[in-house]
Amino acid sequence: MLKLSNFSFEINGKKILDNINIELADKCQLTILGPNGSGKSTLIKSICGINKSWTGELFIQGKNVKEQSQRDLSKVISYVPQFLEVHADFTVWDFFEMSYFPHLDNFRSLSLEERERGEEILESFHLIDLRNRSMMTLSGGERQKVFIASSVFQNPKILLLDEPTSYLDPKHQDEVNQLIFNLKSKMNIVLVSHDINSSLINSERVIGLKNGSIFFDGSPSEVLEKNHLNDLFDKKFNLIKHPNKNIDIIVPEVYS
Amino acid sequence: MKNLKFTILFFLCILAFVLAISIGPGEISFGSHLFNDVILNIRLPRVLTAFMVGGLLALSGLLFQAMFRNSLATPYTLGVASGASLGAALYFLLGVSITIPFFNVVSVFSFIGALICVLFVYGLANRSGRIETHTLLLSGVVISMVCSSLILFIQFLGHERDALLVVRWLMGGLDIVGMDAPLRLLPFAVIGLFFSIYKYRELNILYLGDDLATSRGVDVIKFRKVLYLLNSFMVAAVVAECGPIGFVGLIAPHMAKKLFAHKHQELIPATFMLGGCLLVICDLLARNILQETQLPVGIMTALLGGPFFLYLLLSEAKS
Repeated sequence: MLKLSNFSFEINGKKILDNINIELADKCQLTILGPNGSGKSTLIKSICGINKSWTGELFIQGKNVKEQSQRDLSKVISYVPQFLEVHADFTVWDFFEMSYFPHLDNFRSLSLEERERGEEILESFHLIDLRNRSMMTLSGGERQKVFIASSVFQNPKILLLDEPTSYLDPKHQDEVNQLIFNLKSKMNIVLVSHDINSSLINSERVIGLKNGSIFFDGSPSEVLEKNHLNDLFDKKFNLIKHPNKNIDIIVPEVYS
Repeated sequence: MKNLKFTILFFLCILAFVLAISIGPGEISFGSHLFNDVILNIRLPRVLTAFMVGGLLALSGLLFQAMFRNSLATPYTLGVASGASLGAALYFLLGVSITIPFFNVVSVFSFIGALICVLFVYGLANRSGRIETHTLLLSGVVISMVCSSLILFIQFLGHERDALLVVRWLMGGLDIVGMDAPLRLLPFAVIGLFFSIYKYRELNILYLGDDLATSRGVDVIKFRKVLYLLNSFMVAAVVAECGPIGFVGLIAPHMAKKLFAHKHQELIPATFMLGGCLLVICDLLARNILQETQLPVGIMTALLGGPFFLYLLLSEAKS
């Protein structure tokens, strides 16, 4: 589905990503962990075409990304940014329609079928009542859900999310994590996150990124067994067993 | 509701047209010799030019605002007007006495001045094929300042009469006779309107920010380049024809956004009509407000536009 080979990116001679190699199978959730400044966001921005001057190879569904237009690339990949800004007074539905841009000709509007699909997605994200609300009046949680829902409406094969729960309260974090989990059966999820527990519980695969290079790559249980997290963040993590699942999770430090 | 707004706007334009053509000094009866001379040869071309100039400036303001995602961007933000003004000032200094059929020579000079300025700003902002927005803005401001200094220098070097001509040109005016000027502007209006309506989805998406716009399938770098060049040509054509007429490019898009929010499929025709209508009304006032002379329309747009814009800002701050 997704293949990166010798993938590097630099700005003014400084390597931000260094020789990344990833091959992603169909229908799985990959979480990218790493300290601040390790290149996580740069990596997913490069995959979806925001950063263009990378070197190496990137194939999506067997097609070389360098030979595709941005519009064609956006038909198979969509992205939810870390900072959810909208600079104009669009309604939720306007925003939704814009997400479908890669599939529309310049003068073709949404067909009845496409409109119904959009409404179904809004319904499944419990957003249907907000369809005529201005994006500027939404709360952080509502806005995050609208961004994710609209990216799903874009109908991608791969959904990239950059720290989707960073600015949310615990209730909304759970809700968004659940929504992402539900999407796994329909598309590949690549997630950048600092929410280590949620990543360990919900992902099939975890990649640790440090100083622009892959530090580890494996299943959540492998990552924990080999104490990769301690080395990745230069910090000792305390682990306990999850009460309902056969997996370790981290517990916060207690300061005295 | 949307259709009603457009209908009102359309009739407002018709009303402005009728008033601008019929109001003026002297009594003119239909079919008379004066009717042909004054109405068909002076007022009608002038009203058509005013409508297209206002419409193009407003459209250009709207496109620049989308391009920079900044509601204070105007058609003159990137120094096109300064380049055109420098071209005009050079024309007056050199006292060129050539004639070119269908074209006004001062317009040719200012158009070339504007284009050189556009290419200069583009060259400064172009970093290996990528146009950085902030570099573009800074380059525009710097080139604008350089051009203004050179205009002052030219005024200092030239005769008093030339300096006066430059100052008068800088006030902006619609003193035209015959259909040449509106015909020269027509292709810019048609191409500008067609292109922006064709690309309305991309213009809407630009307001989501560069990253999201790219991930939604817009080649932001390429689109911005095309937008910049097209917009600059439009402004260059307008300024070459009528001088730098201020405020229309700022006020009309704001008025349209108040009426139609941010959807460009509605904003583009509305902005063009509002801008055109606004300049036709301003020109009507400028022609008739003083008995002994006509005010340059640029003064009228500034006199009305300044306070109106302040009102808009204050009412937005209140809401």
